[in-house]
Amino acid sequence: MIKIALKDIRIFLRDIKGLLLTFLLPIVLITLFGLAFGGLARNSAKDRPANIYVADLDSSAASIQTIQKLDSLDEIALTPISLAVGKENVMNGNKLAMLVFYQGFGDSIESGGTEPVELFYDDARELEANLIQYALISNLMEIMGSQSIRKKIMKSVNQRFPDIDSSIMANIEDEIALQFTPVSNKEDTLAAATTIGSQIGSLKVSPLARKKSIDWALIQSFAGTAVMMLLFGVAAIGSSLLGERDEGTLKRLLYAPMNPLQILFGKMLYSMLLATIQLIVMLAFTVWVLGLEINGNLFYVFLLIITTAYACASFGVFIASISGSRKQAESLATIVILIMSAIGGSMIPLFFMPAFMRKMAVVTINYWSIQGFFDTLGRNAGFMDIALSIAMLLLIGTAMTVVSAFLFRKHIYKVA
Amino acid sequence: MIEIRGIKKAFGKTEAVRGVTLTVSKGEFFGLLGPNGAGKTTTINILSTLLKPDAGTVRIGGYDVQREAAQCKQLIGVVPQELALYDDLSAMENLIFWGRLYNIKRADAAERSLEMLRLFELDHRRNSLLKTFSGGMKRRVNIAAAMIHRPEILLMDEPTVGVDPQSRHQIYQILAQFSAQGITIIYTTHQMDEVEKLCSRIGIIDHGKLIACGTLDELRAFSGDSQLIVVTFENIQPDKLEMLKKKFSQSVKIADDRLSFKTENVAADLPPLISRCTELGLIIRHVAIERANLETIFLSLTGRKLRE
Repeated sequence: MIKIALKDIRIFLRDIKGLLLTFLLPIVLITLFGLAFGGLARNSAKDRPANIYVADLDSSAASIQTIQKLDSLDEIALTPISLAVGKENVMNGNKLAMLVFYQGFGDSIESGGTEPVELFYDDARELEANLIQYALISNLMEIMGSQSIRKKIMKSVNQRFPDIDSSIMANIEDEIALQFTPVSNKEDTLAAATTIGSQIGSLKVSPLARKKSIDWALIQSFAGTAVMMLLFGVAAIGSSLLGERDEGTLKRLLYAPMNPLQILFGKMLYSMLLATIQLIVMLAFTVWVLGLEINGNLFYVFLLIITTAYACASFGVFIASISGSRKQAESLATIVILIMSAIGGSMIPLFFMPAFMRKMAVVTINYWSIQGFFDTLGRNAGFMDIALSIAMLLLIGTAMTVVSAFLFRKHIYKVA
Repeated sequence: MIEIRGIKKAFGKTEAVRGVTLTVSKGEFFGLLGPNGAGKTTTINILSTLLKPDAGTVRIGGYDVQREAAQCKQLIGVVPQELALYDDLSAMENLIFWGRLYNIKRADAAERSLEMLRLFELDHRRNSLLKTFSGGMKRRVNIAAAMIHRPEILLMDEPTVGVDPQSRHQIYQILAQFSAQGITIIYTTHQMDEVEKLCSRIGIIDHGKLIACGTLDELRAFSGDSQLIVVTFENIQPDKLEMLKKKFSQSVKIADDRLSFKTENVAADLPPLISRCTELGLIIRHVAIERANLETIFLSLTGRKLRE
């Protein structure tokens, strides 16, 4: 098994074009995807704010202040409009969305009630609308969330303890005000970095930067591209098994005193080694050249690299084992990899996708690997947090290996 | 050394081997001769443990090829029809790799590889990538790779296909050396001159059956130790050819436009044959008298030429 893997590595190292394609192409793609997702240009939101309508039916101090705050953000530009005209324009596709502050917005904040705010969007542009929704929710939560929650709690306290002394009540209010700064509300929101140093009402908003900054776009670029490129690489190795059959070397391997499965596992071992090195090189490039900071445990990152490489290597031999010829394997691999990459989050980040697509993604290697890399590289996840990703990668890999081994044993002697 | 007992192998409805029984002794150079599709490669694949026969048994060095495949594999070296080598490895690297698969230590594999390359006069190119080799040179490496683990039996499936005469001659010399060293060789081919030159015993296989087996002299005797009158006709009239066959009985075999008439007395048999042909209105294009060689033996046994 090791002898076969070493032989393949020796042959691979002689192939300069193959080497360049294996390492250079993914690096170029990571850089391009990084630029496309904004990971390499962090202030780019200023250049392309999402322009939507705003209809203020309340015209209270609170609604005006909230609209001003939203409009001052880099990623959002608001254009005031009447409700009827705005709705029509959105329906006609002239504008992506309209944010409506209904009458009573200011009162509800003061009274601790439910704020009447609604976002209308063009259903033909759902993907963009999801992004806008995401940005609005996080920013609205920051602008009005803490004030609203504080009021709601005070209202509840007043209702339950109507006879409480006013000085004690004032102390409680101060204490609640101290506790409900936006810091506690926004600990895990992605937009934290965009609101650093801003001032809302009488509350001071403190910077929410993590110990290390997280570049989600770069993690997406690395993980998405790496897994997709890895799959292409291992599929080629898998189909080289069929190449050996066509060239007669597989027949000669079978003359030797070894179990046929050793040939299959030899190819898998080579795929795994190459995939591991490829992932390490791509990660190193993303860290040292593109500036990704790793927040997680390096051992877990390595564990994820190994399990990803294993799952991908299994995919390579699986494709070879279900294909009748090298050409068939290459065509099949291309189709399957493109589909897996599209639904698994390699090409488009998963959070852009509708819910049913995200459900479909769980059958792909890409999904579990990307999720795992987000956890280990970005969230400083513990073992239990990445255990599911690792387990799923091992499960997918093992299932494909078992099927491949069965089919390989069944069909291998057709070379004779 | 090799005992084949009634092996049969079918692929779907096609019966590739139909009850071949054969024994090859230690040190024998055995030629398995037959046209394309006769069952030679299937027989080699069964001997090399790659194919399981549908019926019959094969024992190599006393080991059953199905139950004791690992022991058999250690005893045999196989030279396949294809150039089963890695073009992106050097000749040395190829031989070392194939040797290592037989659990030979790296240093020993390197030593044996060099020894083989010297034997095949390729040591000066040992570090060149195989893709830079000519077809003949690759064929030599192909044989060397089968010998790297020093097998007692060498199974060769048409090993000189596409080889230039010079390389072919060199291969013959080396094979003769192997044979002299006591290595048992089974050599399949459809090249009669190769078999005549190299093999001490010959088996003729056709349509999956071993139709004759023995030394060249034995085969000549088997086919009547006779000469062959081969008549080729201008016009093919199957009914008239059949009438001719009836007249001359078993001695005549007909295939397409050709009639082969086995005789021990050409002078006596040729004139009546020609006059009968003329009587039947068959126009003769060509008449040849051939001494029994493998070609004529095959023709006399099957009524067909070997390369058809």
